Amino acid sequence: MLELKNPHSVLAALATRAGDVLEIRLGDQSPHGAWQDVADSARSLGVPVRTGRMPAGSSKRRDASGDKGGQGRRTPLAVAAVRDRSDVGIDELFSSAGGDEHGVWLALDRLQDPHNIGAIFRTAAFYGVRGVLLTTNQSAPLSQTAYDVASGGLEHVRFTRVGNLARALRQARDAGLWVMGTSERGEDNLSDTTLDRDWLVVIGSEERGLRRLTLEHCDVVCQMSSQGEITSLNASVAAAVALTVLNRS
Amino acid sequence: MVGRSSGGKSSGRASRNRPGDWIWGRRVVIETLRGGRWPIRDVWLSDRVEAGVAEEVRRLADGLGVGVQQADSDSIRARCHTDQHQGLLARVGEYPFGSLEAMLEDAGSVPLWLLLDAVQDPHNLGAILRSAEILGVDGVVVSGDHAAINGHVARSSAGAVNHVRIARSENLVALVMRLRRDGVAVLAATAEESVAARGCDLAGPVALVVGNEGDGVAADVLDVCDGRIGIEQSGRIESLNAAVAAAVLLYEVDRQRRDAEDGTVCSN
Repeated sequence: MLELKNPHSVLAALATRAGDVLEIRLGDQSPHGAWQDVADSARSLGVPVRTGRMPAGSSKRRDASGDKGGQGRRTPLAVAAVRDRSDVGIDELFSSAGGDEHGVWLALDRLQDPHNIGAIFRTAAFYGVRGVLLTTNQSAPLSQTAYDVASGGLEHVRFTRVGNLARALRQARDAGLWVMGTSERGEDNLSDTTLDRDWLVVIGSEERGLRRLTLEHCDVVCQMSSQGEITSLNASVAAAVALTVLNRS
Repeated sequence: MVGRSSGGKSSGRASRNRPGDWIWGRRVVIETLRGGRWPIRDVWLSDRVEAGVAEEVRRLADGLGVGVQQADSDSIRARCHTDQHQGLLARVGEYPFGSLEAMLEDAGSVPLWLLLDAVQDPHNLGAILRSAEILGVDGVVVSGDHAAINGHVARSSAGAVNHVRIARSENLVALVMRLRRDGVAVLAATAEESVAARGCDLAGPVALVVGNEGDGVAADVLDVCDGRIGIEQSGRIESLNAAVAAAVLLYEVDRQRRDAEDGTVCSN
């Protein structure tokens, strides 16, 4: 169960799976802005909308995530109790591959930061990504933070969590996708990528990048910039740049 | 394009560092010691840091006349409120913004500036600084009610706070007008009424303006920019995170400058 605090995440959940939105709690001030839209939409869909003081548990600090520089956050204006979204099977994730219109998929290899995962889903939804593979081991879960940072993106993009990414990449290739790794040590330049096929872009973890076994399953490994810096882009930024380039047709 | 970020942004973030702010993590602390830009007051080191790293920290700190003390992980955690410290913590002074004048004067013949209008999320600010370093920005200007440059920003920036030139502007409108007089094309990142970045000529002197996560670029700033630049959407969500939008636009500048392709001039 999720307690979502971003009204745009809640609006997307109401629009796509209202049955999973269990309750809207509005606090003791009248809602405004997007929360007013949430309240209106929820009422029209028959989702309970309650008002009144927030329970103490809803105003806890976002400690390790540190959004506010370690300062406590104010009590949220409102929260929504929403069920976690379900995975699709891996065959279903790749079911639209091989069609006339080429698509893009993402694989996130052991991402640790829920902000990055959320930001990637937001970008994926912006670009109409067909599906996202996530690893289960050593990976941040699809938490409230990820949903809220995604700002609705987690409702619009299908995803599958897998224990064995190498096997999932083989399944992707069997389904006709081409697998692209992203690394500052890549030999190909991203902007030279051909667009005449279905691509699965693998984004490596924040600290360690792509694993050797993952790299072995890539058809190409691309680098992002010409600057030759030893540092690499933030994982969510790298994903966004790759999606932008693959969306240029 | 930019806008409507993760919800419930609280107000009241400090624009300036408080005395006794912390930075943590090996990369950030060591690069800050090496960089010599951001003043460090003291350093805490835990036993779990390997000898080689500890030795380097002591050597760098000695060179700066900064004291190093041994501490356990719990007391380090109690100060920075995170487990991500990797046994290394430092107390820093106020972040020393560079001089805006000096930054503008030092520009190369084809400068790329990034102007941030009240970017408030430390993760966004850090990620933007990191992208700015990698994608060849000449300088970043922060303005308005922006996130303080603190340990969270330093960590998200992967140390770029020590390398990228960062200045503050009290008057973004005046800065935009001045840059335009100097022949810089000033383009505001917006979702509405914008020209797709690929349709803009970004090979010349350019300043990109990225706005606040909720409200975008302020209207008075928008009014004085040369034009609006955007990112073509093809999916269900209408806006990108500010850090993502900034990076995508910077990448496009980098790409165009590399390819030296002909483009059409971007304007309203």
